[in-house]
Amino acid sequence: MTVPRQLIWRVWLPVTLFALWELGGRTGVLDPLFFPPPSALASAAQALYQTGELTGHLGATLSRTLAGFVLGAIAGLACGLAMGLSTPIRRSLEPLVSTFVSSPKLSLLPLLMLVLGFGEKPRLTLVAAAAFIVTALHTLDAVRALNPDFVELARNYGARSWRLVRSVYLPAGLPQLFTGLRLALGRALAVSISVEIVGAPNGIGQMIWSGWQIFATERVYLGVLLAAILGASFHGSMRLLEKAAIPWRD
Amino acid sequence: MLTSEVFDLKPTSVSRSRKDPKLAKFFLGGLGDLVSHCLFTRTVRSRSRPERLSLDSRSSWSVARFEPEPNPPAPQHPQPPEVLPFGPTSWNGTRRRLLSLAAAPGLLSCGRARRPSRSLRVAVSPRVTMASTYLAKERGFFDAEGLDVSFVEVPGSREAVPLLAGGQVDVAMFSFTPALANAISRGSRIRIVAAREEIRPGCSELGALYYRRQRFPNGLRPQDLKRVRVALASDSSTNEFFLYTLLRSAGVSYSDVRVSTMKIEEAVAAASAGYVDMFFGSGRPNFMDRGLPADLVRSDILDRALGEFQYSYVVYSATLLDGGMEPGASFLRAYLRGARAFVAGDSPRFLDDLARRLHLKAELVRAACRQNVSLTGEVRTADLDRWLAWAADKRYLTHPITSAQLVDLRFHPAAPGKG
Repeated sequence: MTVPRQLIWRVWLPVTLFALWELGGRTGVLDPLFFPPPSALASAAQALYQTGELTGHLGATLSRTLAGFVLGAIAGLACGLAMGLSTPIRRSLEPLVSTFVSSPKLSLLPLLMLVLGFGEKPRLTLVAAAAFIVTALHTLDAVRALNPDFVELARNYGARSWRLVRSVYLPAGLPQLFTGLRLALGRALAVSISVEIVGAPNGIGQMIWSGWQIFATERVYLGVLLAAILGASFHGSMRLLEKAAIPWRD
Repeated sequence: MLTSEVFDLKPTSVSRSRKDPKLAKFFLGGLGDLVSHCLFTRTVRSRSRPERLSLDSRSSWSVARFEPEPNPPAPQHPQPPEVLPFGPTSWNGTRRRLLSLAAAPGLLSCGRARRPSRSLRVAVSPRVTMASTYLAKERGFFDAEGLDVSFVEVPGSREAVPLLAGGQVDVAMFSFTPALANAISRGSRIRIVAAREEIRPGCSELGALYYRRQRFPNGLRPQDLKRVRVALASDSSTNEFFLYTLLRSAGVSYSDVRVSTMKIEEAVAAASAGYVDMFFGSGRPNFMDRGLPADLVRSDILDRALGEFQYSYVVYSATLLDGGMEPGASFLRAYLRGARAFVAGDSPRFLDDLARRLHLKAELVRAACRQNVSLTGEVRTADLDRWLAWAADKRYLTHPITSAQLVDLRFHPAAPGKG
C-alpha cells in the first residue's frame, strides 16, 4: 500500500468525525454550550497559547510524565530483571507488585502526601510507581519467556552474570520490554493527568478540571484532545525507538 | 347540605378531607358517589388554584403573606348534586362494603389526581442551610403553592450549573461560581432569582479561617500573610475568592503565598502535620462535634475583610424563566416561607439525616447558626460585582459579563407589579 493511501486510511475517520462535529455545532444540532465545535476549540487554543497558559500546562504534563516514566522505568527494569533471574526475589516481590497492578494508583496519593509532604514529590512518585509496575512485570515476563537453550549455550561459552544479562537476556527480551515501556509511558501519562485533576497547580489535567469548574467546556475538550494527542505521540515515538532498537522485528 | 360544606373547598383540603367523617360516610356510599366526587373535586381544584400575593402593611416585603382569592362563582358544568345521596339506599350493607373495597383503588387514584400538578426538580447539596428548602417541602409549603417538588442531590455548584443549563433540573441552590457567569454569558437561559445565604461573622463554618497557633503565636495578623502556606479546596472556589479578598485587604499579592489544593479533611491533617499554615472551613459542619486539634484556631481577619456578604443564590433554569410568572413566583414564595420557618427555629428531618450521613451529633447540627439564611431573598448586586471582579481578575470568565445580566428579579415577591 502506498504512503498517501496509508495516510488516507489513517485520517479519514477522525477528519469525518471532526467535520460532522463542526457541522452539528454550526447547524444547532449540537448545543455549543456542551459540544463546542472544533473551530471554537481552535479559537480557545489560540487564546490560551497567547497568554502562555497552553504551553505552561503542556510543559508541566510533559515534564511530570517523562520524569516519572524515566524514574519508574529504570527501577522497574532493575526490579523485573532481579525477579526474573532470582527465584527467591521473585517469590518475595511478585505478589506485592501484582497487587498494585490493578489497584487504583490515585488512592495512594493522600498517603504519599502525608509521607512526602505537599508539592511535586508525591505526584512524581505516583507517576513513577505506575511506570515501575508495568515495566517490572513486562521485564519479568520477558526474562521468564526466554528460551532456556540460549542461556545454556551462553553459559557453556563462559558468559556469567552481567555479561549474560547484556548479551542474552536484554536482546532476546527487547520486544517484550518495549511493549512494557510503551504501556508504561501511556500509564504514566494517564496517572499524570489524574493527579493533576485531583490537585496540581498546572498541567493538562488541571486545565481540564478548571475548565469543568468554571464551565468553560472548550478548555475541557481542548485538554482531552491534547491528552489524546500526547498519548498518540508517545506511542508513535516509542514505536520509532523500538524500530531503531530492534531492526529485526517487522 | 351544601357541597362546599362537604368538600371543604379550600386549596389545602386534600389531606384534611381524608380524615373527615363525612368522607368516610361517603366512602361507604358506593361507586357512583365516588365517581361524582372525583369529577366534582377536580372541578373544585381547577377553580381554587389562583392565589394572590398581599403585602403586610406593617412591615417590609420580607413578610409577604398569601391570601386565597375570594371564591369565584359556582361553575355551570358539571353540576354536582346540591345534596349528596348519603342517606339509606336499596343496597344491602355487605354488598356496599364489597363495592367500597373494590372502589378503593379508584379513590386512591382520585386522591392522586388532586396532587399539585406542576412538577419541579430542584438541585440541592448536603448542607445545613439547605434545610430551608427541605423544610418548605416537609411542611407542605410547596404543595400549598401547587408545586410537586423533588430533590436532585449534587455535591456543589459546579455540578449544578450543567444540570441547569441542560434543563435536567428546574431550580438550583448554590454558591456563586464563575461557571454560572460563563454559562449565562454563552447564552444559557439560567438566572439568579433570589439570594439565599450570606456570610455573617462567626455564624457559619463557610468563610471561617483556621491557622496554626504554633506558626503565629501572637494570632494571625494581616501582615503575617506574606509567604504563608495555605490550603484551598479547589481553584475557582468560594475559598479561593475568600483568600483573594483577604490578601487584597492586607495588600499582599497572590504570588506571595504558597497555595496547595486539597480537601478540607486533608487540610486539617496537613495543618496538624505542619505542612500548611492556614486553611478555610467548608460549608459543611465538619468540626462540630469532632473538634479540631488544639493547635488549630479560628481567626477573625477574614470576617473583617468580608463583612456581611452574599454568596449563595436561588437559580432558575429556562423552564421556570420562560414558563410564565406563576410557577416561578410560587416556588420563591414557598421557599422564602421555609427560610423564615427555619430561621425561626423549625427543623426539618433532613437535618437528622444530614447528621447521620456526616457522622455528627444531630443536636449539634440542629443548633448550628441559622442567621446567615436570607429571609428576604433580596439580591445585593454590589456583592455580585465583587464576585465578578475576582473571576475576571483570575481569568475565569470566558466572556465579559455584568451583574445585571446574571439576575432576573421578576419572580421576587418585592418585584414591581407584584402584590
